[in-house]
Amino acid sequence: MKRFWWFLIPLLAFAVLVFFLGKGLTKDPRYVPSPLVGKQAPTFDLPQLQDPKQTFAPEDLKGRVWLLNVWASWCVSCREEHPVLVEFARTHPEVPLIGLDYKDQRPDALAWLKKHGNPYVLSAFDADGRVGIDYGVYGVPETYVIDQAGVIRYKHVGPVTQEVVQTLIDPMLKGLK
Amino acid sequence: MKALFKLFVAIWLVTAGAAYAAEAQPLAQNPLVETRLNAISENLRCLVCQNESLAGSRAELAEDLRREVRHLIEAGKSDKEIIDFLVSRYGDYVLYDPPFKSTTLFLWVGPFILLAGGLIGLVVFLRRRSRQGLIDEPDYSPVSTPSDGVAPTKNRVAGRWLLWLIMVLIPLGGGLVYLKVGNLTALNPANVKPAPDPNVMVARLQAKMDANPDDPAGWQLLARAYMVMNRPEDAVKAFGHILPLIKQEPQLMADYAEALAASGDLKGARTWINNALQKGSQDPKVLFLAGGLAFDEGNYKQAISFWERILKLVAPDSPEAKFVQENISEARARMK
Repeated sequence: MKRFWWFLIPLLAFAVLVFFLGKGLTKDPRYVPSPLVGKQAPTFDLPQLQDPKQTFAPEDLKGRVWLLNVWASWCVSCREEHPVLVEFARTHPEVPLIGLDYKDQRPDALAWLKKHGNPYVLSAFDADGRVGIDYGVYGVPETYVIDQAGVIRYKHVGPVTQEVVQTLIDPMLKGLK
Repeated sequence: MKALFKLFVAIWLVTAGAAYAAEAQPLAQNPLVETRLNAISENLRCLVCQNESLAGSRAELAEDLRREVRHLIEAGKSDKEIIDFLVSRYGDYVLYDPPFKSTTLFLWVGPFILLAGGLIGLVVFLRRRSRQGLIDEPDYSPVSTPSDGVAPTKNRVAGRWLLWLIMVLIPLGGGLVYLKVGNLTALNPANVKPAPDPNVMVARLQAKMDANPDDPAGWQLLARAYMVMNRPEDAVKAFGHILPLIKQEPQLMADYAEALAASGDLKGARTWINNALQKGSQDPKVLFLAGGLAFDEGNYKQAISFWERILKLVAPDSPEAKFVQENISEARARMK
């Protein structure tokens, strides 16, 4: 009987291995955890999309909880998440939704907003993607939750869905109040 | 003297500006920056196409990041500072060689724990076997005949030998494999990714060129490297080996004139700039140096006319245009 237990050890080790490999398969390999979560949001000063003469800097929203959504007119997944953002802006008037128009052409971006609706309070225009690099953007769309102190509390990579809003963003916003 | 200083600043900025503007043909412009860029980006992961290095990827983000790294190199940042810049934005994930820290502890130590566990298991197993004398007598029949009285002792000895043999062979084999495929120098953190020393690289190229001077492209590369390293006298010497070639190429004339001016030979620089102008060169560098030399002579009107021609050639909001604009206003101020 004792010998039987000895044979069980490799079997157990194998099961553990299968468990972890299987868990690895269910994870999204494109998701890279951001080192910026918990850190001060990188500062910038960019012209606005609609009015190039005006600029936007994250400091403008100090003391408020807000969302920064990186988007572009050339980005297909942005179209997918767009209705969710429009709905979010409607139901969360107290949370400013700021766009970061990433590596885009101004006329294209303006036409895109006109066609699909504009959920953003304003969009900062990051023509060469330099601010995107500071925020560690590697795939548009990306969404950041930034708190009153200007600290990034959460980063979502990929399209925001209704489920993400309800299960991740809403509880986080509640906690920040 | 102030005018001369101004000219030097101008030369430096045109050189820097040229490296900035010529992203399509970077190798020709600044071999040292490109070499370092390659060395750094080989060890970084492209986040879009995750199995490619930053050096090899053609993704747009990779191109942006290479541009960023190129700027950082030109700004004189060390390799470590550049890598920290990327890690602070994209995390350890950009490193192909993960650092040793609490979250990666298991990654680094795990294999050794498994090895130790396996060895302990083996020792326990074999000891028990030999203590019992003999477990499966038929298995050992080739070693000893059942009727042999000394069989248990023999088996015990054989088992112990086997145990020691395995305990020595496994780590030894692992070590040999590591020697073959591993990277021993990387074990010492001080050795990781040493910055390629430009001086050594250039000295090597110089030695190669001295041994085999019949290579115009090599001399050009060497001369440009000397200019980047702020050694214009050596650059002039290197250019001196390819004078016949320079006589045919206004672009090279500009480079040569720049080196001459930077080493203090304004007369020589003037000659070559005039040669280039006579060839009808529209190269911004030629025009800029021509303007600078005119400015140095006090001929501000001519300087302005040269510089204004540049403004038609470069993008209106580029750093070069801005700098040229500043020079023009300076010349205007002096005319009054």
